[in-house]
Amino acid sequence: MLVERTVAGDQRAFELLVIKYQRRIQRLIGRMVRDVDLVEDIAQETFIRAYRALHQFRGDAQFYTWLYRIAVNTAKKALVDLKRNPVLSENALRERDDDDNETFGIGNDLISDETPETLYAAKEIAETVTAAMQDLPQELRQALTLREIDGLSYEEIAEVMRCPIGTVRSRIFRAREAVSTRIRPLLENQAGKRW
Amino acid sequence: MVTGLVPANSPFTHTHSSHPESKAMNISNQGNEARQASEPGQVDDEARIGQQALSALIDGRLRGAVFADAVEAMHRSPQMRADWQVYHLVGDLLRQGEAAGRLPVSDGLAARVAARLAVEPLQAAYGPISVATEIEAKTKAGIKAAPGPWAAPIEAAQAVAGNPAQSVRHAANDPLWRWRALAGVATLTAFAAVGWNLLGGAATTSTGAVPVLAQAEPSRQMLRDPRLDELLAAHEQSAGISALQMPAGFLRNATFEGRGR
Repeated sequence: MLVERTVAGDQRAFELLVIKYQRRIQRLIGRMVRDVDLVEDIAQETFIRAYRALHQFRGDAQFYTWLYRIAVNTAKKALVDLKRNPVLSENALRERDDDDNETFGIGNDLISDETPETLYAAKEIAETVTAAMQDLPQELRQALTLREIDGLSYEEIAEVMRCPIGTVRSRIFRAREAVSTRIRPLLENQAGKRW
Repeated sequence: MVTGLVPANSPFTHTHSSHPESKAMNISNQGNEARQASEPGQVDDEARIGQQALSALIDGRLRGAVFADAVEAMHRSPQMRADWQVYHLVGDLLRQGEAAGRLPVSDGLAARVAARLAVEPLQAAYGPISVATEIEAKTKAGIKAAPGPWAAPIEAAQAVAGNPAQSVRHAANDPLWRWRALAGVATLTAFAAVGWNLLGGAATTSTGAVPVLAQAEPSRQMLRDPRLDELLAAHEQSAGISALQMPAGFLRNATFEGRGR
């Protein structure tokens, strides 16, 4: 719906799409490029290109899959441009064994702005989410797990949990809000560190 | 929790109880101590209803006016946009664990993208879709849109016959076909003018004589409109035939101005 609304001319809907996918796109680009500023520039260019090409999106594939391709192509172009630049920062690029390999594994290398403190903060946030999930009532935990991890629709979740769709919606919201409440203080503490 | 600015009749306010989505999202106060306070509780209720709609929006569950209200509310409320981001982070962390949280995300990326898009011309961004929207808007405003290439001969003939255009369509090469349509109309007009002189000159003759072929008189001045030259040149380049599907080579872009004008 946000894609359709953007195509209809509402740029605010596209802004919500940017917020929704920016983390995944930046993480994807971060596997190719080490410099965090360059990652952001490429991510910005990716979303600009996606906006311009949105009328070509036929909806026959997932939006993120389409956006993924744009991000990869944009990053590759940036890498080519960087290699042509004699003033090249070696720290800006990651070493890659196969330039044609488009499947990127989860990288564990440090990016230029990462420090042990930020790594610890990320670990702390992940552990807090795990603890928050364990503290949830069983029905809320199950609803959120089925939605976020298993990708089931509300109708499918209602069938699995044998409850109305409205109850599914309520449980998912309450679970999200409970987990979010636990990690918000951690995010605010990290606000100065680009969280 | 800061409440976003939303209109009074929006499902994002607890007073809008008649809206079905609002009823569905009006969750109970069980177990929430913050709701027991009067004014703070009311604020929390509104915020929770907005957050619940936000959660539904993440899952693509909102439609129609409720969806539009949600987008509008998030545009006005930085808090709701922050909640949007946190809810998505929760999902990423559940799916990918610690790795999802390792890369810091700049809060300003969405704003920078929005700033760049604000100066993007809509037509360049969306091409035919935006122009079609423009034509639709003009049609609604009573402005006739330019006909497409397949409609040019028909449109021109209908225009001469006084019939309104039956279809309004758009083509990427619309300006070229607009010139072609005008060229066709100009051709017909010139043909009609010549035919009128041949057939209708007697009505203006004061002596009542039998109509004769009009002849150019020394007192009459032949005028050439340079625009007609341009139109006919474009017309000849396109197909070489007139709107009536007849060779137009014999027609001349000339008009006669009588003494009385």
